[in-house]
Amino acid sequence: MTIGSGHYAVLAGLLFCIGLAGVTTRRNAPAQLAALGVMFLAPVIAVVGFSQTEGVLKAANTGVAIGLIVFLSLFAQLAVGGGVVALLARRRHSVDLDSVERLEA
Amino acid sequence: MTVNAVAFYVAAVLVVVSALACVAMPEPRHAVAAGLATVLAVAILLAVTGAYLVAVVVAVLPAAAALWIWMRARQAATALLDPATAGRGKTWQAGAAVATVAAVLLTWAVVQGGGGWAPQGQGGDSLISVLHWREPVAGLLALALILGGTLGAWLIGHESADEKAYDAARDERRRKQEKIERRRTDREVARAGRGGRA
Repeated sequence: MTIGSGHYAVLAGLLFCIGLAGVTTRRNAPAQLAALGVMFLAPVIAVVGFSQTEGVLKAANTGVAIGLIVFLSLFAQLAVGGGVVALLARRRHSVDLDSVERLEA
Repeated sequence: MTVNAVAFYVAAVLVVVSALACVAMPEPRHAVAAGLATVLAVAILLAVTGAYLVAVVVAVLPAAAALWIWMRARQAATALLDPATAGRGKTWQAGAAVATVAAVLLTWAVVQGGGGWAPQGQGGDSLISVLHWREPVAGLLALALILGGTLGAWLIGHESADEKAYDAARDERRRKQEKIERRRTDREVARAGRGGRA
């Protein structure tokens, strides 16, 4: 059986939806950040999977560079998110997102 | 490269199971651990796919970041994973509905896609040629992302000396204000007591 780009598309879509469910339902900020990380891994799988199985991308091996940059963008965003969570915990003495109704300094 | 079907399915099941655990586990520390396991499972999947460089970066970078946090700020990190905030938020039904709608839309897009996921044939100069894995531009962009993300996180998350001084002064003001209020209340109580005796 051949693994094609459709397989990667389905897996990436599934991972995106699972992560989205975590982001929108979680109460703890770091746990929500972890779910956001899961969600952001979906495009990495899609880009790398497509590039390894499809036409011109496969020939140029370009997906490696694009996948790397997509993942590093995800890492940078999560790092900034971690900083915001640390700030939130210091200012409000809580990481309960239910208690955060207004964004203020 | 031809992807081994059995290895792909095993890695895909690992990815999905760990992602589900990350979302479904009520305890924040378990959820974060499952999130790290998902990252590792995705690295395995990428290695199975043949993108070894991305797989190594995906496995090493988050593990290094987690290790650094564990070594430098274990107590603060443990405090962030407060068990009192376990479980779902109060608007979780709306969130679950949004995720369901996204799942339906993605399923529809996959069904409509019919296998045409990426451009075929030869393209001209484009972003793809700039972001080739051997291009220094791609390496510089990757470096800028790591440095920018780390610097941004540090700027937002760290507690500066003036912030510490400001917080200490504010706490001192609050304590003084509470003391003044307490004295005023005591005086009023004493006055009321004397008035009652007279």
